[in-house]
This record gives sequence, structure tokens and C-alpha cells, in this order.
Amino acid sequence: MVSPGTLFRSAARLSLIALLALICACDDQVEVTNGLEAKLRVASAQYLEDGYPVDTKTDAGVVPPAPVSDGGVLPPPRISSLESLNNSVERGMVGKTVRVVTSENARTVAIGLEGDPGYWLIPVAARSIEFAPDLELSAALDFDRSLPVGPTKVWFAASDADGRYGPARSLDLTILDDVPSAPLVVSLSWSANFDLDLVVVQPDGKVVTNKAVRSATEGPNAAKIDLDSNSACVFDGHRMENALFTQTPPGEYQVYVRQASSCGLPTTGWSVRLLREGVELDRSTGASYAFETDLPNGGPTGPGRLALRFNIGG
Amino acid sequence: MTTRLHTNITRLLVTLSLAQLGLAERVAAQSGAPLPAAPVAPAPVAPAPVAPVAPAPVAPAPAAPPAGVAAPDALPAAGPATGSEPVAPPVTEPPALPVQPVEATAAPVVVAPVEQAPVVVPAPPAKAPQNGAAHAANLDGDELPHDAEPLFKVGRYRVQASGYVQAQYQRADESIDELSQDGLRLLNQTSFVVPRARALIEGSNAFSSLIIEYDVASLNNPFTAGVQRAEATLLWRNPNNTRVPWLATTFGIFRTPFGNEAARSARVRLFAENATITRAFFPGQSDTGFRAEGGVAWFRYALAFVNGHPINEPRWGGRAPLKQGDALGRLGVDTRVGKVRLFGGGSLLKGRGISPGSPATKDSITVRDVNESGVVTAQSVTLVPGRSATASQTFERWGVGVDLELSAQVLDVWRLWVRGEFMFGQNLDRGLFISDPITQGFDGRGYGAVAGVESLLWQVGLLGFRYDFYEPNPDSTARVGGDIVKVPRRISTSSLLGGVQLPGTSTRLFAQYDFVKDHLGLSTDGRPADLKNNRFLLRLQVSLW
Repeated sequence: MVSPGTLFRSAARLSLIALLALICACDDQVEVTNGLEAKLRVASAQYLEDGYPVDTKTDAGVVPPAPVSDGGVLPPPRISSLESLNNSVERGMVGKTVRVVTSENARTVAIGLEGDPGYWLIPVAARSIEFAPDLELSAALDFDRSLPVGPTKVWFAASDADGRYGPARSLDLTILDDVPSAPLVVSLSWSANFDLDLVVVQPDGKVVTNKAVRSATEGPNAAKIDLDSNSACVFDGHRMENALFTQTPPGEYQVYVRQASSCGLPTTGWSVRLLREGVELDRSTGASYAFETDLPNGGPTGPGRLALRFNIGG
Repeated sequence: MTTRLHTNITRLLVTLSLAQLGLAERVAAQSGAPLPAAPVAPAPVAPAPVAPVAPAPVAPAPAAPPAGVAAPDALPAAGPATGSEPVAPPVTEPPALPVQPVEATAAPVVVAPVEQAPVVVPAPPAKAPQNGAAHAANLDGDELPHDAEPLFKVGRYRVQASGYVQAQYQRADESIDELSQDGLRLLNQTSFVVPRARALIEGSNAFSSLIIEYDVASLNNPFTAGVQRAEATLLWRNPNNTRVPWLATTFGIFRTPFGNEAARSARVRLFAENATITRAFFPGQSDTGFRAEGGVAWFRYALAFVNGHPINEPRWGGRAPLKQGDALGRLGVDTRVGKVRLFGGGSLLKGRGISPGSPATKDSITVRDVNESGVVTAQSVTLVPGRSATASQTFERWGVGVDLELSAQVLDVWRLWVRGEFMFGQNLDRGLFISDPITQGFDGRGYGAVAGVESLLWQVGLLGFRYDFYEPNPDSTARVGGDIVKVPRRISTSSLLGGVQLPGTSTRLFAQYDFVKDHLGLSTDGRPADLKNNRFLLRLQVSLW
């Protein structure tokens, strides 16, 4: 006769074994996130928070096809070519296309930006018509707005069906500031989807706004605002306006941040930068709150908040 | 390989459970004790189950009989009526299995003689509840114990109110502190949530009943609230009020009578949520329509015509874009074989779905910086001509299912449930990989199954293991390395559960861990890989009955 105690002990043992088996069975799971914390994002790819899977100390460059071993085993896949229309990219740019051609035994390509904590894995799905029997893919790259300006590298390495990576190749890029170049730039950027406007009062009293009507006599060299971002709460993702000056009359300039609409959000932070020939001379930060729109001197017709004041010498 | 492992584990557990059942019988035979009889509890303060106010809410769930009064065949029949006063039933022998309070009760109409219709069989005598019976009921599928006095009476109607709240802390491996790109959805899934807070009002008399169940949940942003069930039912009762009615015809919103899980109450379900395939085929469980169901002896039947869009369906939930909805039904048994209660059946569904058309569009211009020059050129501007509207189209869908549930009081301190269900459907996925053969270009055939073992130990301890899988498209393909190859899409979940339950109630605290194996990730070989998305939850459920 089997006692109930024995039965329960047996059941407990079996449950423990089952639990351990289940835990062991889950150790090959892929841990992914949406990758928004990375400075580089790749469309239709999967972000892995591991370090880049291939040594990136040296660029493999153009690797000639390796011979097939005696056993008919193909060597690890290589990146045959990388094609980019323009290697200077503005930070915040979206959809930069890079054509990647790989050897025929590639199955995925790992794409990683120098300095990013993880990398992107994208499948190689199509055969190349131009470089048959090689395979190719077109990767759409997005660059974060906080990328440091200067040179950087994007690494590419292909993996085969056995998970073997071939040598990595880099695409050398130059990250440009997203502030347009001009002799003098006053740049306003903000963090949440408010409709903020940049207003600059020049020494002669003329006001530079995105709604200012310029007279014909001012000519093309008159100061201007490059973009009315988030105008009427139609979100464009820029959240940046720049006042561009090609001529800088001497005197005191006053920079205001005007809140046209909070677009239903409670608050946003903003930053005003003064740049001369691309070099930052001064900076001011602050925050705008939704209730300010309803103040008697707030809203799109109000003067806005004084954010920065600077002088240009004669 | 892992799938086979899970399957083997399930088989082992089931084998062990059944083996233990046999052993328990031997133990009982040697000791001479009537094995499955639950220990008799001291008389409770509240009177024994008297008369259910309303028909058991819905659906032929396991032991949740069709609308109307529910009673398993093996229960003692109602004694002869001698008046309105409950009379103790003649005790012949301990019931073969612990029974549920709901099942041991009778029709609601017989409690008050004044209200009693002449043709109605009087209420059965009060029955002293047994501990095992009371506890078993909470995992067996009953909606209401009907062992309390009605809240109030309105004319000939007895009205009873009840409710329950489920609150939990959950942790998900795939959770991240982020919003979706449209800013509307939270990607964080590690949080405190209230998946269900439901209030239920039931009213009934001899020939009719109504049920209104309202639900509030915090799973969505910010909350969802709405009617889960609104049933208006006409009854043709079995003269023996302990039996299911011969016919209960319902109009309104009710749980879909298909299979076992889809028709079960979330209150009595031990595991936190239904299996993946059930959630895919029947999102939200309830649908709007007409239902006729009932039973004779061990035979159970249900036939329904519904709109075909369960209330939680993402696109058309609770509405009817087509005049032709779904017809579905279930034939089953609810009986005992020896000491084992057997509940099972087969289900069919046939209906039509809709693939929405598209509105007419106007000409538009798109600008794309194809040469990455930052300057608008002739190449970067494209005229996109407008297109005329397209008409919506309909498509056929169908599904079949079989379900089986065995339950027994294995030992005095151990009650066991073994459940299994299989479903196959064509274009029936309405909640997960939503079927639309018009846009996809092929019929979506999916199938899946669920098997589980649940135990109630010493009337307080809860232990459970469940394995389920869903294959949304066995013919799924993908381009890998330039070739089109067949790739798996199966999702399987192994759930382990442990907890405690307040004796005689459905109030319980339990922890559940789900090992999810799917093919939603991408491996370095270019094929789908198992995404890390296991889940843990700690749930407290407090129920008014």
C-alpha cells in the first residue's frame, strides 16, 4: 500500500523536476527592447542589448571570398559592400538608407553604432540581382538627436545559419549639428510636444518671428526663422526653431520664448543657445507650463518669456 | 524540443494524478471508508443552500450548467415538497463526490409560497453543506452558491447581488519603461493592476430570469468599464429543481457556449487568464445574441446565434457589422463514472466575418529626400494619385472543439481536476493574429489545446499546472537568406500556480508563473526565436460568495 505521504512526496519531486526543466528550457530566450535608448535605430530590426558580437578594433575592409573548405563548409559570411549616398548625416535624421550586400550564406546582419550599448539584428531576405548569388538588404537608419557632432562609425557584420559571424565592416559617417549654419544663430529647442515660438528682438526694435512679414527692402539677408515647429499642434518631431542672422547689427538682442499652445500637455523644458559660426557662446534653459497660455500676457499674442539677452559689439 | 518536453511533463502529471486516483481508491477500500466523501462541516451560521435566486449565469462551463438551476445528476433529488419550510433531506448515503452549493440548491421560485406558481415544483429541502462541497464549488465553475437569502424581492422576482474583485501585482520580462510611438499605450507591464472588478445582479422567478454583470478593469488606459453580461432568460424548468432546466432561452449578452474555457467564469477559473487559443478565438468571452440551452439527465446541449464579435474583439467588439453572424453550439455530457465526475463535449461554430474596404482618397504629394541632399529636387517630390473606394467583403469562418474535464475527491484532503480542450478554427482568430483572408490572401487556419491539473489540498491549498499552445498558422512562411521557408509561429505557455483559498469561498491569494515559448523574436540564423516574455503575477481575489 502506498501512503498518501509517499504520494505527495512523489508529486512534489515530480513538480520540482518539471519546474527545473521548464526553467532550463527557457534559457535560450531572446531578450529584446524597442531600442529607443540607442543612439542608432534601424527599422524592421530587432535590438539586442548585448555588446556588438564582432571585434570592431579593425575594419575588415573588402574581404575577398574565402575558399570553401574540403568538407564543403562555407566560411563565415562577409559584408561584400556598403553603399551610402551621403556620409554626412544630421543628428535626428530618419530613414537614412544603407545598401548592404553580403555573401550568399548570410542570414542576418548585426548593425551597431560606435558607443551604443547594443546592436540591431536584421534579416537578410532578398537575393541581389546585381551581385548574384550574393544577398542584399536595405537598412533604414535613424539617428538620435543627442548624438555628438563629429565622426563616428556604424558597424556591419553578417551571420550565417550556424550563428557564425564574419568580419565586421564599418561605415564612416560625420554627424552634423541639426542647427543650420549661419554667421549667427539663436536656436530654441524643447522637449515635449508644445507649440513654442522663438522671438528675437533686434537692436533696432525689429522683431524676428516665424510670422513676421519682411519687407522687400530687407532682401534675402534679413534675419529669419527657419521653421515653425509644431505649428497649430501639428507635430513634426523637430521641436526646434532657429533664428538665422547673416547680418548682425551691433546692439542688444533679446530672445523670448513664446508659448502658442501647450497642445494638451502640462509642461515642457526648453533650451536657447547662441551660436556664432557653429560655436556655442551662451545658453539658457527653462520650462513652460500649460497654464501660462491662459495668462493675460500669455498665449500666441503675448510677448513670451525673456530667455536670453546678448550684445553684439559695433 | 521544449514543446515536447512540456507535453511530456503534462503527460507525467496527468499520469501521476490518475495513478494517485487509483491508489486512493485502494486506500479507501482497505480502510473501509467511503473515500470521496468530504468531511461534514459544522453547521454554518448561514442556512444551508436554499434556493438560488437566479439561474446559474451562463454557459455550460464545467459544472456551470446552463442558465437556470443547475444540479449534477448525481446529486440527491429534491425531496417532496411539504411547504415552504426547508426540510432536511433524507440522508441515504454520503454523496459520491463532494458537491457544490449551487448544484445542491433548487429553483428560486419556491421559497416564498405566496409567490409560488402553482405548477412549480417546490424548493428542495435545505441541505447541510459539506466542507468539501463548498470548497470544490469554487473551482468547479459555479457562478453563485445561491445559499443566501435574496437581497430583496420585487414582485415575484427574487433579487440577489454579488461581486468580486481581482487585484494583482504582475511582472513581465518584456516590460520596458516606455510608451508606444503614438504615445497612447504603455509598454511597461510590470505594475499593479485590477484586471476585473465585477458586480452582478440576478433576479428570477418561475419562468424567467435576468442577469446584469458590470465590469471595471484597469488594464487599459485609463480604465475600461462596461457590461460583461446582460441576459434575459425564459425558462422551462425540469420538475426536479435540482436538475438543469430542460430549456433556457436567452437574449442578450452572454458567454459564448463553445468549449470549456470560453464559457467559464473568471471568478472560478483557477489560473489568472484563459489559454492563448481561447483568448484568440473568443476575446472577451461574451457575445450578443440568442441562446437556447439545457439538459436532460446526463445530456447537455446549447445552441446560439450571435453577432460573431465578442466584446473584447479589437475592431468590432460588441457590434455587428454583418447581418449574418455566427451560429454555434455544444453537445456534451455531465455525469459521473464511478467516483469521477466527467464533464465534456464537442462544439461547432460557423459564421461570417468582414474585411473592411477602404475610403476614396484624394491626390497628394509626398516628399522624400531620396538623395539625402537636404534640398527639394524633382526626384524627391512624388505625386500620389487618389484612389477610388473599395467595398468591404465578407468571408466564411468556422471552428470545432472538444473538451473534457475529470474531477474527483482523490483523498479526504485532496480534490483534483484534470482538464483538457482542443480547438481548431479557420479564419476564427479575432483577438491575436486576427484573421482576414481577404487582405492576407489565404485562409488562416489555427489550432491549439490546453491541458491542466488543479488541486485543492486540505481545502485551503491551491496547486495547479497548465500547458497550452496555439498554432496560429501552421503554413507560415518567411524569407530567410533569399529563400522562402516554412517557419514556426506556435506560442506555448506552461503555467505553475500555488496559493491559498479561504475555505468555503472563492477568496484566494495565489502566485502564478508563466513560461512562454513563442517565435516572436529573431535569431542570428534569420529564423524566428523565442522572445523573453515570461510572466509572474501575485493575485488576490475577494469574492462576495
